[in-house]
Amino acid sequence: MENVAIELKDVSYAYPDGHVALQRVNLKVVRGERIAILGANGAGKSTLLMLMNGLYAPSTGTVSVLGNPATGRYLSTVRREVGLVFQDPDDQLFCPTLWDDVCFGPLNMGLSEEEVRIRSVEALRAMALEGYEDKLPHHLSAGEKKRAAIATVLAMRPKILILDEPTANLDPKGRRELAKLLRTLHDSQSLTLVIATHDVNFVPEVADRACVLNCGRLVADGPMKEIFSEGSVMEQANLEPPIITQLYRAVAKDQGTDGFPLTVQEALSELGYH
Amino acid sequence: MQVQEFSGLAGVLQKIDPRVKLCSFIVLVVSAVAVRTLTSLFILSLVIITLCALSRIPIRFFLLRTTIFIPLFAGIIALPLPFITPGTPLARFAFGLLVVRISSEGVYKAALFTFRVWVCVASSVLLISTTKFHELIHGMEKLRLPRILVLMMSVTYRFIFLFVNEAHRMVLAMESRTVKRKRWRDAVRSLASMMATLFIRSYERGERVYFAMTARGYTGTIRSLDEMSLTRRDLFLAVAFFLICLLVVATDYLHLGGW
Repeated sequence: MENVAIELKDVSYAYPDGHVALQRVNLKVVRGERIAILGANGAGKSTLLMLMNGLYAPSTGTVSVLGNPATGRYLSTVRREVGLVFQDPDDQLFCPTLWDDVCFGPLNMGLSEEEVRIRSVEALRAMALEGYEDKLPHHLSAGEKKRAAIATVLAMRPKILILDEPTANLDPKGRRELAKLLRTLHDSQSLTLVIATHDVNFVPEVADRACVLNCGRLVADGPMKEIFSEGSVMEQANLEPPIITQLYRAVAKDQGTDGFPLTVQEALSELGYH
Repeated sequence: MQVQEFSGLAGVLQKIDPRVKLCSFIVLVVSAVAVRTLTSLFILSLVIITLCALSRIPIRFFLLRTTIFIPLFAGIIALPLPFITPGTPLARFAFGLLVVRISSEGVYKAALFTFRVWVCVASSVLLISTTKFHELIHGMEKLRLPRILVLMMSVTYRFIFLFVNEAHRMVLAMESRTVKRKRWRDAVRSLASMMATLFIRSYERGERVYFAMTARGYTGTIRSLDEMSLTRRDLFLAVAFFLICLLVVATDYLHLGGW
């Protein structure tokens, strides 16, 4: 029980207009885990993330974070433990300067000024944004904005970091840097990572486990390799495996004991190149 | 926001605490409204021009910037004054039965009003061009202006560029599909639908931003770090400035000469 970061039990969610976004979702995220929520547009990924932070309350079922229910008097604790990074950084950076934005969360936690400063400096450093304190958000590049948005959340020192479509609008360099920073974060602070995306070529680099959502239902849950090897599930959910896996599937006869490779690195080592 | 370009220069006003600048600005505007002679306004405008020069703002740019809208707004309001104010007649025109008189008191009143507006506009341009916007926001916060007002200004400034970009993209998208020259009526109609779309988008953006704030523990009160400190120099300049304004207003009220 101690080890569970987020637990969703039988969670359904319907929007006020009657649209049912999630149906009877059961999901357990273990602490320190890196999990990807895969799904096509409109599959319910974002709704799921909103529920995990207590921004939405489930229509039926329960959401709990580190053993606390994500409702009522536990809400502030839950929001402190779960850092949610929105898809559009322009939604997340609403203060005049980056420094104000990074301080916003810690200040709301009621910390001392000294502590707020320490955490903000640390968060900016973790996202390689030192020296950007006085920058205005609209002067940042897309990649910098994304990192800035993550920094604003990191300053609260969450135990769980949730990212919604982190690679949206990023160029290759921005994606590479983001993947690297996310890996470093996970390794150094043993953060639990939940990443919602349909960028299947990016996700093997930053997650180990995959959950597939299709029309509000959780249709698959397991190690990334297994999920991507099972073609039918991906097809049903209107997704496809990473491009390398597709190539292997087309030319290789059997997937061996480890399954097909998911990234270029894995393919290279399987082919004997280093 | 061309004026913001000068806020990074190493001039006198740029280095002063934003709170001091805000207070001095208010003192200046109040003085400009209080005085009753052109001489006093002239002295105040000299003070502004001097500060402008000390802050390394190009004087020509400054004069152009502050004067360009004066005839448009103040001029139109002041225009009838020479005709309706009773007093010593300066000129008299007769158009048949209609007789129009211009009084010297009226001309003076109009000039006073226009000059007064110029001093107020010039002092606000001076404030904005020597202060970074976020410093201004923090200054207002620290001066305990109503939080909701400050927050509104800060959010407006943050998102205005975004909406301008969005509107620009919409115009481009529309133009790329326009082959024929549009009729006036159609143009108005597409403008209206664009405005509606922009309104809905900003409404949705507002909701998402609110969610982002809530997700980071926002419960309705904005907190901020105390990061400003008043230096001796700030205080000295504030006092000096206040005394100058006080002197101008006092001289004005004691009728110690001047025109």
